[in-house]
Amino acid sequence: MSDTPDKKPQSGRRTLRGRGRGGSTTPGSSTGALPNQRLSSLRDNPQASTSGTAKPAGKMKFTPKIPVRRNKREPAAPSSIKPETETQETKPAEQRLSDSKGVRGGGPQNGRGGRGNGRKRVELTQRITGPFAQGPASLGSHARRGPATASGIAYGGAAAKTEADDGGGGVGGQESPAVVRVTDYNERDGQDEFDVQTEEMALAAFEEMSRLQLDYDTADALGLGKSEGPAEEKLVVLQIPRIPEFELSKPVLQRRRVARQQQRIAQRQKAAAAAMDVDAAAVDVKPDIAALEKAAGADGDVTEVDIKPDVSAADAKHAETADSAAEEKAGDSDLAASVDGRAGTLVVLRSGAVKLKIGDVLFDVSRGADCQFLRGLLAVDVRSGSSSAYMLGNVDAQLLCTPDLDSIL
Amino acid sequence: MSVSDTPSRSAAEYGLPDDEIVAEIPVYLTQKLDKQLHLLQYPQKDGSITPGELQPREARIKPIHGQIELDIPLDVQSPMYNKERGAALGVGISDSGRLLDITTLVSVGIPQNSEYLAGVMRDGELHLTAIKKAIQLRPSLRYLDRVAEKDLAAKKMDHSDEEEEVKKETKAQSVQVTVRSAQAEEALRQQQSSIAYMQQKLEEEPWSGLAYFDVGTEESNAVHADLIADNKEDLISKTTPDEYLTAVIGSIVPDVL
Repeated sequence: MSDTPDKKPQSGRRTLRGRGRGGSTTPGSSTGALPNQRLSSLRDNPQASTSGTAKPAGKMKFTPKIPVRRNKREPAAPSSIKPETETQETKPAEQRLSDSKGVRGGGPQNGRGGRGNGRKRVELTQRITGPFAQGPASLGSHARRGPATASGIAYGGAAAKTEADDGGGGVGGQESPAVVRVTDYNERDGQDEFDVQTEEMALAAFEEMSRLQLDYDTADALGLGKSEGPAEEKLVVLQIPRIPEFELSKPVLQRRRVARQQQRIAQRQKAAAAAMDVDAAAVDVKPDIAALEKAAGADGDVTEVDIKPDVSAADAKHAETADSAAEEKAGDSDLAASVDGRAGTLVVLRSGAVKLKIGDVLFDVSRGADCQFLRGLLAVDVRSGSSSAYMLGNVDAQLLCTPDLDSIL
Repeated sequence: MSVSDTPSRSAAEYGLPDDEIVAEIPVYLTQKLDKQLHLLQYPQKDGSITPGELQPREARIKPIHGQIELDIPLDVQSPMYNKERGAALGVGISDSGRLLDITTLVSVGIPQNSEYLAGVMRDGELHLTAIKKAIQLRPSLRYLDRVAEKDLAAKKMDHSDEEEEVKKETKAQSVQVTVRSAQAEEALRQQQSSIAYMQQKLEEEPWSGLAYFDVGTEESNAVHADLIADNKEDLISKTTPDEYLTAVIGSIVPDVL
């Protein structure tokens, strides 16, 4: 019988229709094969189909189900069937989901949610298939929309939303949420609204997506996005091909030099005063040297200091001046080495681009790949015998700095 | 947050004259910790755990090679913990009948192709410090080796003395000869650069104690403050963009010999 081969696809359709997806467009339009019969039947009684029983005994043609990309935009003719109410329902629910994602989305992988807020836009959607595509049975109809997003699966760049929008409205309308119908999910695809995507649509969608990429959270990573409240401290790792070299400006260097001298003088005086209280006058010499060497040690050298017991006064004086001169030099190179100060500026631009200017070099800043595992910052002070490690925190985000070649060349 | 109040400011100086600056953040560089900073990666741990969960009971370091070990305690009281297995594996830690109650994480250095900076974003300011090294912490299964060794030793009770002597002899033989000819010198150099040799050197270095201060401790907070630059004055750049580019290109080692 010619009907037999048709039975299979048609039974699948029936069940799906039974779930109240009758309001949506036909699967037939996707395949391009004869959709007319089914289409007309749907047109005539969109409500009757939800009851899940009546089915015109018309001829069913076997039409292969070609998976097609669906588009969230108001599609052309075939889906004009779709009652307006459904569109209204889906939007808020989607946004609601997006909102919840956005709030939760402080983490590295959830930029999608935050971006979705309140924006009408074209998206490339991806089909969520498989037995879990419908989400947990316990959720109500509205929540059925986003099982895949809730699971946090990232779909390369595109904001993935399920296609449950169209069916959801119908389901909620007519049955208790606790009932889950077992359906053939592979067949399910055919029931939802979608278009054949033309090349223009694909290009337009791609363009939209590339524009969206610019918004992608680079600013958010730094806690500057609108989604964040008052900025809390964030730890980021910056990846840069090379750090430009810097030196302290002259006034700062001078200031530090002066400060250091004063510090040393104060130390010497303190040590000398302490020594004088304790020892007799003749022993003045030794504490001086001890203080000097202590000061030298305080510059960061972990050297053992030997206090020579028998040093004549003349020697001591000489040593003192020589030491202080040596100290100065050592101190200077120390000061020059420890560079501390303003290296540049990071700007966030209205287009979403983030630029960094370090010294005279300009960089593009983009967000590094999402990192699922834990990263931390540890300061390890290695000394022979007793080293110490200080955990400074978890890394929140990674930023890549690429030299802006246009400006350099 | 120092969001610029003049949104109409053009981004011309940043190469995009048609764009506007929405936020401007000063960037500071500091070197106080740049000999000490390590970027730790925990490939097996999820990024959302709190720092306190990884507080080690004990930590060790090999100062010369820079290898770190952390003993993270396991919850032996948890209903998920298999006490029989824990006792069997605990032999790998000590003979005292102790349960296996720690996970040892060992660090492995990872090669870096670019420089990394740690940045602290606070009050609309970004403070950068260079990161010295990046390491990954992975669980060590040394206790399994020890359990296997002990099993082996238990089986060979008769021959145990003999074997130990043999082992000691071979160890003595691995000491290097000091007087060498040019050829021997070359051979020695090759051997020294071999991985096996380096591995052996690593194993020979003894562990030394490492005091670990977790996030939130006083000591850790004190060190954390060193990530912030004190001096807010401008630094003078010693590298022009041209020089910078030359340096970057020069530092890329081509794979072709």
